Amino acid sequence: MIAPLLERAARRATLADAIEQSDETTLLEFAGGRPVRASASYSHGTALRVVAEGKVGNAGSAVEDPDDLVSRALASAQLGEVATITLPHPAPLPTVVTHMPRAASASLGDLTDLGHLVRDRLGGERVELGLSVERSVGMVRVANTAGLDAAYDVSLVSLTAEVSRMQEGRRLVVRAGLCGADLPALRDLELLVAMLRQRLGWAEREAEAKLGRQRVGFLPTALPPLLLSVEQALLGKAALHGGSPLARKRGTRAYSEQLTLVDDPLLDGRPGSRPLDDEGTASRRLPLVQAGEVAAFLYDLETAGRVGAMPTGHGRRTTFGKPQPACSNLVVEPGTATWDEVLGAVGDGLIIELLRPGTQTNVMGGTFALPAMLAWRVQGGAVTGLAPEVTVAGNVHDLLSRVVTVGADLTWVGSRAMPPLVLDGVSVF
Amino acid sequence: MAEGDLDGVKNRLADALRASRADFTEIRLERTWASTVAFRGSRLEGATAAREVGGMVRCLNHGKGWGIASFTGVDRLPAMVARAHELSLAVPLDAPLRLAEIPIRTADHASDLDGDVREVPLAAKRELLERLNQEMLASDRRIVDSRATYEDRVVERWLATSSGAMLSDLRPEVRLAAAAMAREEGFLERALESWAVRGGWRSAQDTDHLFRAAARRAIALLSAPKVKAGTYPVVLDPRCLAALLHQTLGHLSEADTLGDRAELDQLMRPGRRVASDLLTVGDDGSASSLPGSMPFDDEGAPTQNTLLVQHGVLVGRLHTRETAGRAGTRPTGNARAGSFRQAPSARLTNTYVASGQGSLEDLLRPIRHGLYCCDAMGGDVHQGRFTLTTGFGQLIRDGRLAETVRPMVLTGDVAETLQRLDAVAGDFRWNLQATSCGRPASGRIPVADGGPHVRVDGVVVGGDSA
Repeated sequence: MIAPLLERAARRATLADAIEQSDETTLLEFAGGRPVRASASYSHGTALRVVAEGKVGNAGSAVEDPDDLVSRALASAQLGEVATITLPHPAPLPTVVTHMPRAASASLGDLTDLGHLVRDRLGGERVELGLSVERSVGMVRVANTAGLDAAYDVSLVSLTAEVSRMQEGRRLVVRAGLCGADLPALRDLELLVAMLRQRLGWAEREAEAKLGRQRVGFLPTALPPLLLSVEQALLGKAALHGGSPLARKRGTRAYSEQLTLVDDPLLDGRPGSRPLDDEGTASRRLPLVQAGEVAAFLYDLETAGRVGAMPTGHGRRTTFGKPQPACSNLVVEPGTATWDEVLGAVGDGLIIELLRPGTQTNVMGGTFALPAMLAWRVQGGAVTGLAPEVTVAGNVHDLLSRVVTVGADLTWVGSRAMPPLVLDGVSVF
Repeated sequence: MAEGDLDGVKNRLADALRASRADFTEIRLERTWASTVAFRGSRLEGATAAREVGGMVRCLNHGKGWGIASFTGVDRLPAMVARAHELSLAVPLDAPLRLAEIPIRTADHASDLDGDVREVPLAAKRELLERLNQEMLASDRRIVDSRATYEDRVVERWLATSSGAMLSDLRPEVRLAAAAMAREEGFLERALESWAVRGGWRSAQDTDHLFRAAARRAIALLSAPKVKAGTYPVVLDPRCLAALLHQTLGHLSEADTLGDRAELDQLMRPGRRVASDLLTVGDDGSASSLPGSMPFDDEGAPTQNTLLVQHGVLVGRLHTRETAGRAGTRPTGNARAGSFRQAPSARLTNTYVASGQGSLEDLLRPIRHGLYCCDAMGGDVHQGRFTLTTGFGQLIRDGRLAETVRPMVLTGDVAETLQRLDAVAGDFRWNLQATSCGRPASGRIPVADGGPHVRVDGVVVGGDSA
């Protein structure tokens, strides 16, 4: 309904843009190696933004009623803030893979086979196995009253495996997952199974953690709750309001020179890949932190208009919210350290594999105290066993200025790609 | 679905059920009206109104698992019934699922809309929040920033099953949240207050106290000292207690959490002592006008007051039809889902600690040096240990409340800590904070909690949360 919607909006507003999104998701949940529940969800929604008399308004709907949507967006604009929004014009879009026909057409049986494949390769391990396989197929269409009208198809397949067993009166849980536009390759599934087996082997021994400040290695699966602080601090909106600890630090060193962060929507087949953002700005690779220096902030159209910056193509919209700046695919550039060198850099300390998120009191400020769901004791540069019941604490912005080593192996966790990072001075209790 | 087209919806549901080829079919439809106004500092972040319609079909066949289809709009309903049936057939099970029986009812419920928020212009909602926010910002020169949010929702739900249930319900909800940021001499402190009820526009009028309280507390925290880490006798206020109980015994009483883990099932076996005999805990979805209140749950089971812990001993669990069927007991009316996009699971509603005797002063009196822990900003339980970050606190000195202290982290073994609970005051109250509880599979749901002040003799305090 996007064309009639913009036609109607153009009659009553100075400018308007809209996004239409549809999605069909199939989820298979396994227990004991067999599917126990199958679900499908179908959604379709449209979000409209208008600027009328200089003020911005937003409305969303899952109901096909353009007149109602335009009326609600205009009502929102009557109360809205004065905003300077420059809509992107039609332009050639970069090429990026967001949709794989093989994944989109996979049957329920194909998805079941993926789960069975993991189950069969884990055979022999005395563990409880939980699995889920999810496949989404959808379409995104972005259009505006400046003539832009672009659409792309999306497919996304994710597989999550969790093995657990009781050990010393506690439950050991190890998780691993794969996510991408295509069905996972056999090699990736085998690497996932190998990783689960390796962790189960490491966990056969327990080793008390050393408490106090120390070097701690964070595996990619443990990094998202920490990187969230950096992502939030890099939002142009946070810098504008002064709440970001990185505000006014563009061009200056904020972190260790070993740290480089890039937002890259043009990587093929990843969860955040897209040729244009949800406001129609063409996608581009954007270095955010270059060798420790703050290189750029993320802007959507409205925030860019407020500070007089160029939009960076990071507007994200849901059906019912206003556009907000957000990362696409966030990549922490890998270093050169092999796995043995990562362990060597930790020396006598810990490797954290998984953190329990949710107890940070000040995400953007970077302060955290997070219990580890899975942590490994490292002694003499080797993993010596499972370290139960540890909590790690510190300040993310402070710790990232004390990067000891960056691993060479990049792992994708959702829309983030990260190597292992060894940080100095992490509090362990 | 046109406005007020109740009969039309019922006919549509009945037609879809008749066409289903599954052994059991359950359909939920929802129509939601929602509006949100948000300020950051004195700047309006947004004022929007939204409408949404959608539903979920669940099908079950003999010897098979659940097949589930959710959808936006209602035109796809017949196709979704067929799809859910097809999905159910794709999951053969070794042991058949048995759903516990519930009363088959047909009823239309309508909560008191308390000043229907759908009839209030968005401009009036903005005006209310702007006034409250400005008062908070102007209350002290040290308040340098704020966040203020007004949200309302009216959700109309229909639930119909192939067993003959046909239920409808209209639920209003209004929420306000205030965050005040205070700065002085390079120190920045933040304080939060929130409020929610199953009510409407009239209830939202008398909420100035929230915004004043947030500003006052942010200012007080500027000069508040950190607590030295150690083990203290503590008194928990009803909000702090409720957060601890929600995270620990609350979630562990949700039967489907237990069903997946034999060790948790054993840990929570009925008859086991888990706390001092002063502690009695329950969950009451039938309580009046609280965020977790509703006449029937998302499977159509009537809500009720369920005792979970009586005098320190486990006596009950929260069930869906499936978990009750597995356990050979009755559903408790706790099958809840955040929206039509999620299938229901056993979830908390309004969770409470029963009142004891005496006052806060009685609890404080014997403490020479301790801590009064107020509010909670977050918590977690893992492998039987909890962490809980308070919103703020006060020192207890010689049996009296003394200076305000900064937020602190409480930690310890859940069972050991609850065994050391040595006094429960008689000052029960429901906390009307805008609390919600999220689970990946069944979404974010509004909940409430309540309790009296309690005293625990010896809790490990990790000191300043920052």
